[in-house]
Amino acid sequence: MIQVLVNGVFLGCLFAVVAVGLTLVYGVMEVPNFAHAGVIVLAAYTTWSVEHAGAPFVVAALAGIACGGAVSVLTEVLAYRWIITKPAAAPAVALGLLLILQNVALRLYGGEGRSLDTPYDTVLLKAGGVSLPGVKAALIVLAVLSLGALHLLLSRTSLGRAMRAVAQDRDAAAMLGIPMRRQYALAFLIAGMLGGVAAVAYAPTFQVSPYMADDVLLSAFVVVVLGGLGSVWGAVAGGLVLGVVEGLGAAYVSSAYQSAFGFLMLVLILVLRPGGLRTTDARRVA
Amino acid sequence: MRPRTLVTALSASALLVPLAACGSGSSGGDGSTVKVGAILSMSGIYSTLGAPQKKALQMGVEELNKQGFTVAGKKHTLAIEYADDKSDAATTGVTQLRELAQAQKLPVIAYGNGSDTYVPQLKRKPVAMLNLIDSVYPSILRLSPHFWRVRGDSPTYVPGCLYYAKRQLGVKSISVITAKGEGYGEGLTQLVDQSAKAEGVRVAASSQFPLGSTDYSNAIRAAVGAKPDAIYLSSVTAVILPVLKQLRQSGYTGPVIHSAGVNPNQAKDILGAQFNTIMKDNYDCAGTLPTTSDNPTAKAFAAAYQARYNEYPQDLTMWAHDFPFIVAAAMAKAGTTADSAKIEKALGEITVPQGTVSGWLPGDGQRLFTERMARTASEVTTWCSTGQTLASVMTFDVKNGAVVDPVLKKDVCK
Amino acid sequence: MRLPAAARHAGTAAGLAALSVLAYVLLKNVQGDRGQVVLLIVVWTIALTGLNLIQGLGGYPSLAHVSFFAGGAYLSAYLLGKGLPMAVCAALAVGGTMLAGLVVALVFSRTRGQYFAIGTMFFTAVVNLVLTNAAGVTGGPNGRPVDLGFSLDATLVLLAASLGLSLGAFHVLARTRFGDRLRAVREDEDLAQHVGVPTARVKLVAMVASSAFGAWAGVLFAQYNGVIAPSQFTFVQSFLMLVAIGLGGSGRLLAPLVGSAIVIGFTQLIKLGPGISQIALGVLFILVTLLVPNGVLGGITGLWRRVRPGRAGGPAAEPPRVRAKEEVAS
Repeated sequence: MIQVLVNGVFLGCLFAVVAVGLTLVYGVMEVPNFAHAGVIVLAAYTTWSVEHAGAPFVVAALAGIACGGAVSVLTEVLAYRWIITKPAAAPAVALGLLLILQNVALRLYGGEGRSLDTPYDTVLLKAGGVSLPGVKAALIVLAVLSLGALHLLLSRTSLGRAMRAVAQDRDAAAMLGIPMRRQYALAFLIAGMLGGVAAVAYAPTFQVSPYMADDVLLSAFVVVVLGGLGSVWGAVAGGLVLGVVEGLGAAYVSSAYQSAFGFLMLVLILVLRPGGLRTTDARRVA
Repeated sequence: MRPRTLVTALSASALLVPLAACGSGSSGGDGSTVKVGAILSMSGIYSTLGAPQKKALQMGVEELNKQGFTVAGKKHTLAIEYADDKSDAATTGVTQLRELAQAQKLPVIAYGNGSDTYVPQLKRKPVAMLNLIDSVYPSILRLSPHFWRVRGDSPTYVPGCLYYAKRQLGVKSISVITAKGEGYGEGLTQLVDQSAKAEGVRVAASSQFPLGSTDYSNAIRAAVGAKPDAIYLSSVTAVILPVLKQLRQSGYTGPVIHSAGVNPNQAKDILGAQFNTIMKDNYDCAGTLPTTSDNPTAKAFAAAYQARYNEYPQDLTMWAHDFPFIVAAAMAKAGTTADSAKIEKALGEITVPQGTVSGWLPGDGQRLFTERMARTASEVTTWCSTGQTLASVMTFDVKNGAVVDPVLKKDVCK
Repeated sequence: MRLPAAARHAGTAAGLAALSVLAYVLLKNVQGDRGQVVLLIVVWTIALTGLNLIQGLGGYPSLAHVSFFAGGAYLSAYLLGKGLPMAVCAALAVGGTMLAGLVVALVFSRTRGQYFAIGTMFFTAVVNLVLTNAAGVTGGPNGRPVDLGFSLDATLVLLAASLGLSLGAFHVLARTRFGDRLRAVREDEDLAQHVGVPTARVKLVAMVASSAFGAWAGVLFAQYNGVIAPSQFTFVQSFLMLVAIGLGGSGRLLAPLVGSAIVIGFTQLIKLGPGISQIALGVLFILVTLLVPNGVLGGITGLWRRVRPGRAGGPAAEPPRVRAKEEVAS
């Protein structure tokens, strides 16, 4: 049972890191960023190829995170920026970007899975009857560190305060002289880097492939809805809840339908609290 | 709506017209080059099978064409039209089958996976289809009379896993992890259950993970938790190697057995830098490998393949290499290069053709195919950490579900 | 140059009948790879005519449509396997899928815009999960063969006829009060509700109707292809369907045909190596969304109006509502 919970926490941390990236972007721009899965894939491949070229893992990981940030900002500059006045077009553009990013990865690296090696591949933590592979422990540590850093950024710096202002009221923030474009780019940069962290932490437990992030992205969207659109701490809490629910469902009902448990939660929310999903109700960051 | 709707409708349909223009195909048979088809998984999850098959087929065609072959007094060479099913027979493969059989009217088609999905199409347009790899249990041959298999099926090698595990590894209990929804793996698991019962080995736990999932921890926990002496992984290379990696990451150090035909190149590609330690204590029971074979022609083929592609030749490369020779022999026997039905009938009558390297075990009357199946001996291999390669520890044959003629080899890694 | 209503409708009907005949000729004579392209364009056009109701007229980007397509294919295959006659299987498959459409509509029509897209995408993801894992019924990840209930010729005739009839049905539906109400929902749902349009019911009916088109296309596809698999019904496929309508021109009669021809053409015909055609499609779609929001047909219409003298027409970016009114009035 404790083993299952630990596994749920692992999933939850993964969902939280991805979902926070989605919710940040949603908070400032009202875009459901499906392309985030493509960002994660490209970050993972970058890490793999830098490591494959002979660089140490830490360098490769930093390169992957930087790539995540860069690709994410690119999607904003090249596509999302131009539909800021047409939110209805956002899902379509986001899916178009996802198609592009995934297929760029397919084109560059082929469809076969690649294995990402880490220095902690062979580590196994044991406490009582519970064991946790090093790669999973590393993901939990990375998630806590990166979300902690984000918290400091949002609460202690002027950049972070500006971002929260934008998320609360875009028009008012613009009137107050906050440079909006910089805020959009910043939100995408942070989201992309979090995507990179997720990629670096998650890829070693499986394989790097163009479709590695699809399931995670779907679950992360449930988390975003669960935690309240645009809410960072809602996403963290929602991530943990969903991770544990999916972990329990997979262990005790059927592992084949792991992501379906997330869908059931989504349907329940929609049926019970449809009003809570309105755009205007929950746009806030932090 | 205005009259221009009509205009637009017509101009929209004009979009479709160019498609019709170049649809006509050529039929093999009249010239000196005979064309046959091959639908292989050259990309996707089964590309560990399709890519080497294509390479071996190319070698076989070149080898055959050095001499050519004679049908009804006329000399011919062979050419193969390759099609990639992208590891998705139902979507891409069946389209390729229509292209090769219906549009190009090729008389014989070699293929890999997806037998059941081709059955309705075969009912509309029958064609002889020779399977180069799919040893799934229950057999594909029951699905259609047009299917032939150029290899032994799972029941000809799975019993060897348990036989060897019990006698040489001292295994008394075994856990099985299966890729759910992957036919080959599900068949293997049934056979492992049967063989374990026959050998008196206890199945400690049998767990599953859904095909395409990324986290196998539940299946691994169930399998390891039963404290078995060995773990059997049921599926193909690209599916089981990630499981093997997580299995070793979870701390399991006992023997791992499978029937995936993993070669060293694939182990390195899929497992990454740690592959040599992950592959330790690993046993693979499947068809004989050309590299470890005692048969000189198989050995020569293995060396030529290795030299040409810088890649370790799997068991399936021999079978693919022999496909052109089998087709040529059947065409010669049938006296036609175009009539699929006659060629198919001739397949059942030919003996082991000259030029083949696999070491076929002929049946009654020295015929290559017995009930549409041609087979070779089977083998258990192990991973040698020092040489980072495979070595044969036992060759055997199976009769009525029991291992016969086992030949054990000692100190193979030295 | 305005013709009387009857003549104009007769023109449309003749055009659609010609399209059906042409489709039959192509289906019958084009084989192999190219035959597959023709087949997919015809099947998608039938399915997408339904999507054109909910997405095109109603403005609801449904990513559940491929699930309805799958519903028709899998239900008919399953029932055929049970030995029922083909006509019964087809009717039950379409009916069963419409019921599923009703449930989806009841749950998700409470949401709007982006949430509707996310929710229906999830639905498709879960349907795909079931198709992949409920191997006993669906054949699992590698798919299942389909018993042949219709002969090949019958299938081709039905495909060709359904193409014209579906488009014809859309043509009629778009002109009824139901069509007007859907357009009202697209323009401003709150306002529509305010002025007395039963928006919930309109959306429900549109969704259920759209599922019927998808299911019927699925039945025919399964009969032609002889095998169905989860990889044919993924959320990427659903997205490509959405793309096709957007590219063609949301709400326009021939949008399903033009959109399918572009999307299928890109993915099946243009062999630029793995991935490239999908990348090109993604770029093309984003560009069309940004630059020609009314799709290819809308763009053509806009150009037509500009170059044709003596007629006061809006530019390409003219709000669809205006044109919608005008079309109904004319």
